Amino acid sequence: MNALTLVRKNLLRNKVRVGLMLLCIAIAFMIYGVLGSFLSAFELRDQVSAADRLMVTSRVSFSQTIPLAHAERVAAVPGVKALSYVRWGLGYYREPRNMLPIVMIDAETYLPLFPEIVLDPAARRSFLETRNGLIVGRGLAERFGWKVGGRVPLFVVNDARTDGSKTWDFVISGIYTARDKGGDENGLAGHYGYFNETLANGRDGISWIIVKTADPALNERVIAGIDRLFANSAAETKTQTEAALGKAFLSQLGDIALIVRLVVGAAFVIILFIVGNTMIFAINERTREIGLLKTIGFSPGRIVGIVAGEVMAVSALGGLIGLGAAALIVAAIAAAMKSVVPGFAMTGSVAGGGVLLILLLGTITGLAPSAKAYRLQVIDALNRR
Amino acid sequence: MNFMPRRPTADPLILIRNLSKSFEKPGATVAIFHDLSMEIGRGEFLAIMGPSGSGKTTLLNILAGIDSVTGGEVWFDGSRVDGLSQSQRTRWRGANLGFIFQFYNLMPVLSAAQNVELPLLLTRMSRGERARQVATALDIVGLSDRARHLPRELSGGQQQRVAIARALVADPQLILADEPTGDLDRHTADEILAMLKLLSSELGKTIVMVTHDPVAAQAADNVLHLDKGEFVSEGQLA
Repeated sequence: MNALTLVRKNLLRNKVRVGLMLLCIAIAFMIYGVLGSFLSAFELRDQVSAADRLMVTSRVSFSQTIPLAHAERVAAVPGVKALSYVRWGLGYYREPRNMLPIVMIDAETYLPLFPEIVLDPAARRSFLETRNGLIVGRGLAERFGWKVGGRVPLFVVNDARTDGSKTWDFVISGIYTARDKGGDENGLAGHYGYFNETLANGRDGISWIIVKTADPALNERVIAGIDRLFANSAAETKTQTEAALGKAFLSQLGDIALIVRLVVGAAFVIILFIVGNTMIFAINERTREIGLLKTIGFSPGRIVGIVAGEVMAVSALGGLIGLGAAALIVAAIAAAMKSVVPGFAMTGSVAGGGVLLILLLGTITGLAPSAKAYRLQVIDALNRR
Repeated sequence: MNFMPRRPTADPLILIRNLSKSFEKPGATVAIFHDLSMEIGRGEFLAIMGPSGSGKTTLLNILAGIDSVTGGEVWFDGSRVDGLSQSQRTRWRGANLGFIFQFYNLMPVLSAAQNVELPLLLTRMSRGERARQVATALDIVGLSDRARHLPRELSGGQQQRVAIARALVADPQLILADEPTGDLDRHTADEILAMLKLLSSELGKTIVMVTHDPVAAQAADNVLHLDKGEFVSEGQLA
């Protein structure tokens, strides 16, 4: 027998209580693991964003279009090296549950601006030469079983064709991969020209312009120059870096980072109280035993070690179960989430953060019961009935 | 001055001089002992008797270093112990004292052997040495065949015997027993008392037993009667 035996035996004396504590902690760490993985994936996406790419959107809303003519004027702004433009809308493949962002690009100018989209030369040529060509990410192709040459009808929710239909037919010209880890392989892109010329309404409108500056140091000046150009016009613009736009897009759904931190924080504060309170209760129950240990010569420090060891063991076991469950959940839903959150996986930093949280939780929740055990007077403890 | 019942001992293990103990209550100071002196010889089996509130358990707690004194001196084996710090007293108890309680105070999650082993965790003994010591202690109290049993699987008498084994396993000079038979039937109590007597006579342990049971006190070599914080007589009741 050693001190660890005492820790283990004490923990197992009330299996229901320790089981419930483990469950609480495991759930909190599971929430942390899953939400932390989301957050990590979003941050990874931001890192993938190029520093010298700016996005010009409508000042009113990200979802509002701006005139295609803006692109020509933006090209003349000093510091702009290259640009391209995009129109996007929500749509789906076959059924509404297969919701996708449908992106229409000016391929000849767009692809050079995005070297992170890796497309073999033959596929690239085929795409450029095919009016209704479509390039799709590897993940999306795997999800729907798409092959090069396959026909893909896409239903666009908010737009209609001149013939009244809302479905555009495409042929897959190529399947692209992402150059960077965590890069998006779940998108698709067709030709803006093909889409625009068949639009019933809103023709010659674009969702945003992508600007590559000659030097990231010029970003601020170029941003000011572009927005000044369209100030007080019918279609004012808001220009920002690609990373900032990504965050703005997310903020339309709510500040995910804040939500994650609040949810995790709330869960941990609750756990702190539950575990701390339960352990104080457990120490109260064992007052006489602690008095006995002190009587036979166990120092207060040694007893604190046993109590703190119990709290740390509960935190560690519950935390690791929770992180393990989170890893399984993330792995199970990663494929389904790829189109929304590319790179969704439990990273080392999330797992490492979880381990730090385990230590923090164990330390903080152990403080009160340890202090109680430390201060306990033998005479009071032995008189307790 | 208190009645000083005891003959001076040539080589006392415990020496108490002019002990006073009091505690504060709102608006009053309650004195438990005033100017109490006594000696306890090595290997002596001493019973302290007295009615409830006479101060016998407080005296035992002072001897154990788990209660403090207001004045006077407490000496153990030639060293003064009443002035030790909390942590020094804890270490001192671990090295020199065994304690037997009325309600056994066994750890319910540990087996009999593990309960007996507890004081040895504070020593530098190897696992093997500890196992041998535990086996010997359990053998002395006749519970070798119950080593793996949990306290709830043992009778009251057996639990108290485990407590005795725990008290003697680290080979302390002094064993303090607070009403060790108070929770036992007569027959079992007699067995426990015989065992304590054996520890004193065969193993040379000094035993101080607090009891209000005259039959239990008869097992001791000497009996001191305490009343209202003073020794009032020495010897067995008629």
